[in-house]
Amino acid sequence: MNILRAHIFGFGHWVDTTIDFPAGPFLCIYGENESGKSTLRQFILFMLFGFPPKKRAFYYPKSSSRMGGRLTVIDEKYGEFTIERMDQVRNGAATCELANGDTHDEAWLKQRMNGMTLSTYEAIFSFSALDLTQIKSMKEADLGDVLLGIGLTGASSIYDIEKKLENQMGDLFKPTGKKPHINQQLQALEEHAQKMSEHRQFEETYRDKIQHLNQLNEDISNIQTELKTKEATRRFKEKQFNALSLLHDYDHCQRELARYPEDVSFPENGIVRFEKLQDQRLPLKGEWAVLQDTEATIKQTITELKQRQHTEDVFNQVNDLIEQLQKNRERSYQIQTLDNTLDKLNREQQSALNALNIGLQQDALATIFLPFSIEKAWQHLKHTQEQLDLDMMRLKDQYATLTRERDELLIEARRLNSQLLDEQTANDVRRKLYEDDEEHTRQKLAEQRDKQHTTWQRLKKQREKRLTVTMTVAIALAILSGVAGFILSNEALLIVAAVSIMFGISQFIIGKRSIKDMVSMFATQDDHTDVIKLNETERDKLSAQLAIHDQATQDLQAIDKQTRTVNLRLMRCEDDFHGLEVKKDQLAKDIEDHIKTHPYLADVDVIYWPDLFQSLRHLVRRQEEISHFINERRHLQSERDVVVEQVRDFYHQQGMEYPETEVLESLTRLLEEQRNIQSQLMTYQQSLDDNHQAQLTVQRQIQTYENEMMHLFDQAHAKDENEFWQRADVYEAVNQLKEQSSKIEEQLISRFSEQDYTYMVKEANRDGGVLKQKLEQLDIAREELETSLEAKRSEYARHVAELDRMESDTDFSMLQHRFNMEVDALHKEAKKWAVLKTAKSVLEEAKRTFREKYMDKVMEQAAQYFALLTDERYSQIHPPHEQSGFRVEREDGVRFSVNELSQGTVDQLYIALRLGIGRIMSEAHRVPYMIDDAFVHFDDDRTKRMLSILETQSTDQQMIVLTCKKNIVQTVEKDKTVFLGESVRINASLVIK
Amino acid sequence: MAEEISFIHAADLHLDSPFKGLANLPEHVLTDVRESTFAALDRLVHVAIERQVDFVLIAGDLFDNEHQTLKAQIRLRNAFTALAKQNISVYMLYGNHDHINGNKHPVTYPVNVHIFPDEIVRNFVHYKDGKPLAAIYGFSYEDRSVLDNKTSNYKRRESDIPFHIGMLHGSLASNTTHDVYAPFQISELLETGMDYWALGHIHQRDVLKSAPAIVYSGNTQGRSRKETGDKGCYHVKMSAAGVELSFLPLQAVTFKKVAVDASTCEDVFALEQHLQQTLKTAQSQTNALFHIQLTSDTTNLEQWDQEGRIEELIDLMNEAGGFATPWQYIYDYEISSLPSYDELYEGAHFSGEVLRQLDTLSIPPQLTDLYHHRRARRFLEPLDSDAESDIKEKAKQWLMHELLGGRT
Repeated sequence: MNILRAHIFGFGHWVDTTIDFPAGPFLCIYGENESGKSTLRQFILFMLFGFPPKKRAFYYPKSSSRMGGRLTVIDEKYGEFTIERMDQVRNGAATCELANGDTHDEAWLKQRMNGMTLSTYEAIFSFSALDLTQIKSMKEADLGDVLLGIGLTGASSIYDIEKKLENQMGDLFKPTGKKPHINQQLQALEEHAQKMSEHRQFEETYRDKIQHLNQLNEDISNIQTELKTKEATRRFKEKQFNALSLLHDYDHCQRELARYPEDVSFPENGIVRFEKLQDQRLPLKGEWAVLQDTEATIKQTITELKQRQHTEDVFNQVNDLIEQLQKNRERSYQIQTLDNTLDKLNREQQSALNALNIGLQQDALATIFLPFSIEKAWQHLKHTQEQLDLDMMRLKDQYATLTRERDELLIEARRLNSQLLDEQTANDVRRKLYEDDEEHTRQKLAEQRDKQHTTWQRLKKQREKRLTVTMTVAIALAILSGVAGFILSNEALLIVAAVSIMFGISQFIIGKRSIKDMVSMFATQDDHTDVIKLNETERDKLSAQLAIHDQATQDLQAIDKQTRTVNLRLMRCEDDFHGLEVKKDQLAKDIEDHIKTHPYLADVDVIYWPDLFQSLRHLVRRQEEISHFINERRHLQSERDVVVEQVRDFYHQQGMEYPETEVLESLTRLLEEQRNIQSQLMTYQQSLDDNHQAQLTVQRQIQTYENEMMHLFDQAHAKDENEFWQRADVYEAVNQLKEQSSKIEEQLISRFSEQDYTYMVKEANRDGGVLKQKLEQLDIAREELETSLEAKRSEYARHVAELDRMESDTDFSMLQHRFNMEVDALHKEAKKWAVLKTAKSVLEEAKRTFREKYMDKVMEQAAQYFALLTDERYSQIHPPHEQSGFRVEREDGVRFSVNELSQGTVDQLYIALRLGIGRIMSEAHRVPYMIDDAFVHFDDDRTKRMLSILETQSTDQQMIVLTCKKNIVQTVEKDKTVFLGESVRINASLVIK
Repeated sequence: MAEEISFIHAADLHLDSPFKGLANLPEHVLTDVRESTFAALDRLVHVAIERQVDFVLIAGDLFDNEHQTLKAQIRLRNAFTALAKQNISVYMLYGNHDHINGNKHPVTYPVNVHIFPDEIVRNFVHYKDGKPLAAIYGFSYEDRSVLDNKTSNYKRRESDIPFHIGMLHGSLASNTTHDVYAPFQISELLETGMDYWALGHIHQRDVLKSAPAIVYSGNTQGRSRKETGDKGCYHVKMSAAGVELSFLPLQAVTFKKVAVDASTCEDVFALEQHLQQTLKTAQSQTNALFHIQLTSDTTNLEQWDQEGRIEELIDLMNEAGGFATPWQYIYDYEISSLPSYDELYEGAHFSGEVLRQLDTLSIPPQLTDLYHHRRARRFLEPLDSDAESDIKEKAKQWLMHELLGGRT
């Protein structure tokens, strides 16, 4: 499809303009800046593809109400036809008018375009200087991929799109990532699902809980029934138990009654009468019994007194013992005095020992042996110890002083070290100072040379002047002589003219050359090294730094020497220290030996040993005194004991108990007692005789009453009084039992029902223990039932509460809703990812197919253009393979990665690729190719080469170059050019053929 | 038949079942959404009491065994107890979602609730003032599905009971959009001689036939984008004169789909104004979840969408307007006027190649990275063909937008 003519009704600043395009397929549209080139290009695009309303509004003409125009094109299939678009008509849709008068609509035009739209057209068949600047901003690493994208599609965006896809997908999801959004959602969902399953399991316990509740309810009612039964039983048993004593009484009455005969005979008022007789007899019986008792007492007393009477022998023995015991009293007093003395001495001894506080016991004092030599030995040990301690202290002082000195030296050394410059810096400073000195010298030299140069400049000007004068004179002469020679036809003069010219010129040339030589001579001298010159302060600063550094080095050496001396003295000190340690060990050994023989010394410092010796000697002496008193006391004790033993023997022989105290008094009492017994015996013998007489009188009175009593016995069929009383008891008992029995029956009938009464009287267990046991059993059973009921009830209440809680719990519901919402959110994100992933797959697949279909062709075509553009410096283009990136091959076969190419070459490669894809695409879409000032930066040669390529390509499709460059216009043949004049209405007549 | 009868017919309460397709709802919206099925139930009880009906019929799917919560059944029990206090009986059956064997929680309902106990068609007789007023026939699902046609088991009792009502949870044998359970044909229902058919299972309310009435009451609360508009129950009055049906909306949250033409919107702010106006017009008594369908004859929408500005705008609007009472929340939007790029299809250029590749590409194998991922496949359902074509379309839009730099 070629464009033949554009008729613009109104578009941007084009109004009512017709532009005829040269007939050939290649044409150049020239116009200066702002002449409407780009607008014309947009017009053509509008005609071919249509614009959306907003873009149309942008090109609405200011000076016309009509926006639109007509574009006449020629198509291989349909020949010439005209496309017309008006903004106002059918929303800018096209009308196509064929040569035969047929008209078609937008759809028909689209079909002609064969799938080409404005944007795809712009990507493939149109490019401008702007595209080149974009390629320049590409990063090196991406360049190969970008160029490949261009080679495939003509647009650089594919690479960007792939990057964008990857980034967006990466933000959404990575199979092993944690950060991307979907990964995070998955994490949250897993946690949520776990929580939900826990809640679900909990809710599923509801069924069990309900069943358990029903079970509990049943249990409770069973227990309640059982409890009621037990309570009734217990009440009856308790009544039975309370009536037990009544029953027992009843049973007893019945049993007793059964034991007595039916008929019991007894005299009227028998008991009263019998008792009266007895009352009368009783005082006599008493009197007789008293007399008998007195007789027995007197006899008894006499026997006892006789038994207590001792022999004469014993009497004398008692007298002797009394005398001995009186002596014993004196001995006891002496012993008491000795004990007091001993006690006092022991206390003193003990307190003296405590004062010493060396763990020595009093008994041990007796075993201590203290020869005179020991005192000396202990004094010697004390002195040695004191001497050693003194020496040790002195030595330590000395050592500390030396250590301090050494530390101070070290600190000083460190301070000085910090003042030192490191080796490199010191050298640098020295070098700088040295160079600075040199520079001073050189500067002076340079000043001299400058003076020379100025002088020479003056000379040079004078010489040049002279040369010019010489030459002017020579030329003037030559002209004069030439003119004269010519007029006079004098050959000689002509020769003179020639010679003088020659002379003048040669003088001038020689003069100039010598000046030039001089210039070059001065120029060569002007080499000058780049030394940084130091100013005064910098120099002073550096000198001062160096001086400090040197001083610090010297001080350090002096300190080093002092340190060595101090260290030597420290070592000597350590030797002395060692000697003292040896002596100390020897002393310790001696002390150890003494402690072995005198263990109490262990806790006493050696220096106190001589003092201790004195104290000990005193103690030992006093101990000996104590022993003497003890012996004396022992002797007195034994004498006293012998007397006591004699008295004891006496008591033993007499069968008397030995009184432990007051023995003397006891013996004296014994003597007195014997004298008393003698007189008493005589008195008692007289009383015994009087008693016998009184007894005989009482016996006769008693006999009279006893005869009356025998008469009453006969009436009661009793043989004696005993039997009489028995008869009386039976008679009395039977009467009482009968009365009691009827009382009990009355009570039982009032407490029990008739049936229970019969049971109680005839069958009921009478054993209180058994009944009590039964009651206790019932109590325990009841308590157990009540406890169990209470437990069941509280369990029931707990269950009800728990069920209420479960029923009112909304957590699970909430979790489920939220989980579902999160799953929906995941679906949403997953879908976003799926869209991107699909886009990526499609893009990759399309790229692969596209490569397969077009890559080789495009590369081949592009390589040709690339060779032409680079003046055959590069011959091949190699698209990326698995291992290598995008590469180009130089004519000598060397291959370069695109990153290694210069920017200019990359530009040409870009253009070659754009043209290549354009060429290949044009096989399917034969639409015009428009290039808008893409070669502004090309030099003439390259422009020519470029244009020739475009011309070649125009055999396949119309090629339109829009430019503001005169050199391009000049290169292109005039009949292939359209000139756009400023504000000039262009029509066919203005087009230069 | 001199008597009159009045009852509520409802079905598919799906108490406490999660909603579908709602992502990232703010807390207060989620709370209302979560509570909505219960709110609908409470309203059901309220209208039953208010209108003094004789009884309430619930034709299955009261809750979902799959998402069963104790809360759902406890709230149901409370609702029934409220009805019991007013002496209103409930006749209900279990459907495919709440089938008997899948029920985890043995919650006991009050005595006014009569449940069809098994898969055998049985009947209850409703008495009023000591006289039998209506015989109600039905069966419950014991397991997940009942595939037999049960209509022949509905046999009218030979008696002088004035009204006969069939309850059935199932679908028309010809229905292809739902799982067909307990299939029936209208003619078969007519043959049974029932005076009213209270159907459940299909969530879209539908009066299949008016005399005698064969009615789907639909669900009481919409739970996905597909279940838009009012949802509720029917109040039915029957007498010798015939059947009088009135629909009572119960939903607490309404799903709405609105189309917005953004052709005149020059910029996103204008679009916002336009959307605000649309929401204002669509304001109703209940909370509303909006699905906005955007169209335009310019390329603005596509441009804004690719730049993420529409999403941003909707987020802003939701933030600003989400707290009103009742609230309005936009949960999704779509652009239905996207360019087709058909004219590029024939091109030899790269864009043409991309379009052609999109046509031939099979999507699932591309997505295994995520959809078969060990952790993700637990939560992700495989894509259906609708989702696949949607993904393809979106991929196409994305690629073309990027390749053509926003130009068409």
